Amino acid sequence: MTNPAETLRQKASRLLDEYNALHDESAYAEAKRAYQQLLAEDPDDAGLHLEYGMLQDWHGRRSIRAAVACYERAIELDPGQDAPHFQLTHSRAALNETEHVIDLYKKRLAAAPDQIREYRFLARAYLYAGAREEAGKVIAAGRKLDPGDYGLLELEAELLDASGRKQAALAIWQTFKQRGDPENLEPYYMSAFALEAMGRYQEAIAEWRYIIDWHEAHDHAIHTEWPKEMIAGIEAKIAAADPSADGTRS
Amino acid sequence: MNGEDVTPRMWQELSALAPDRWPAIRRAVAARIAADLLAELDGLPRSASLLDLERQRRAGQVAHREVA
Repeated sequence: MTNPAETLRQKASRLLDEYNALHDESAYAEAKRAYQQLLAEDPDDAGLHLEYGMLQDWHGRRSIRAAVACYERAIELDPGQDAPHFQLTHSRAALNETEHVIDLYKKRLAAAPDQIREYRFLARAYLYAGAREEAGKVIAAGRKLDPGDYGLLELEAELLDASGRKQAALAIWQTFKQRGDPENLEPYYMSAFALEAMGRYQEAIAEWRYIIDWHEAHDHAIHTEWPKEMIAGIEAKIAAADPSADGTRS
Repeated sequence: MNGEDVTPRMWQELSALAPDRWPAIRRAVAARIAADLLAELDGLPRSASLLDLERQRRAGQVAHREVA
């Protein structure tokens, strides 16, 4: 029951508790407004930031859970599509629920062992769970069935990258660039991440510039914003490491 | 030639030698590969449960949150 003498701070905390317990969207909306007002009045209150963060965390998790339900329904309605499986694995991983997808894809593989996509799905589920040994075993088994499968090779590169073997991952992405689908930018994005992580900043910038050029050539200007931000971030790292550098050296 | 090279070559030769029986052969081999893989995966020790982690996180947030 609401206390008529309740302060705004007390109201915000009460609504936070209600939202956590009952998941009522109106409680979320009201709590959000209350915390925003409180933070506008007292932007240095650590407790307020903590509680507002928790409110957003819980709401975000519920949104991701709703996305999981959408992907599961998409799979039911159109079993031939791969994309909802990848999205499902991403979302389950964000919720720390990779065990659900591991179990799901183990069952699917047992039911359809000659479908190479089932190896890809299971390998990705393990990879996102951080179970690299298992992911490697699934990739190797899938290769026995289809040694030239590009999807498994892509996963192999991701596994190598996650294992710290970035040079080996880069070699695979280079293969994709040379032989793969010219419309597939993934090896360029992945190479940019790996090169930056390896401190090979100029090469990373070159990957991002390729991505920007590609999007501009395909009239996708909105997708050039993130690459530009990434370049700015790398240039800031270069400048921090060597204040005399301007990030434009080749 | 090492063991890794044998399988792709074997697949190519089998599919060329017995194109009519190839789908059945592939299904049979796939069933064996998957059964061996799944048995191996089930035999590995499971890492700490991420589901448990998620439940602990939720419980911790309720149990330890200081209400103003």
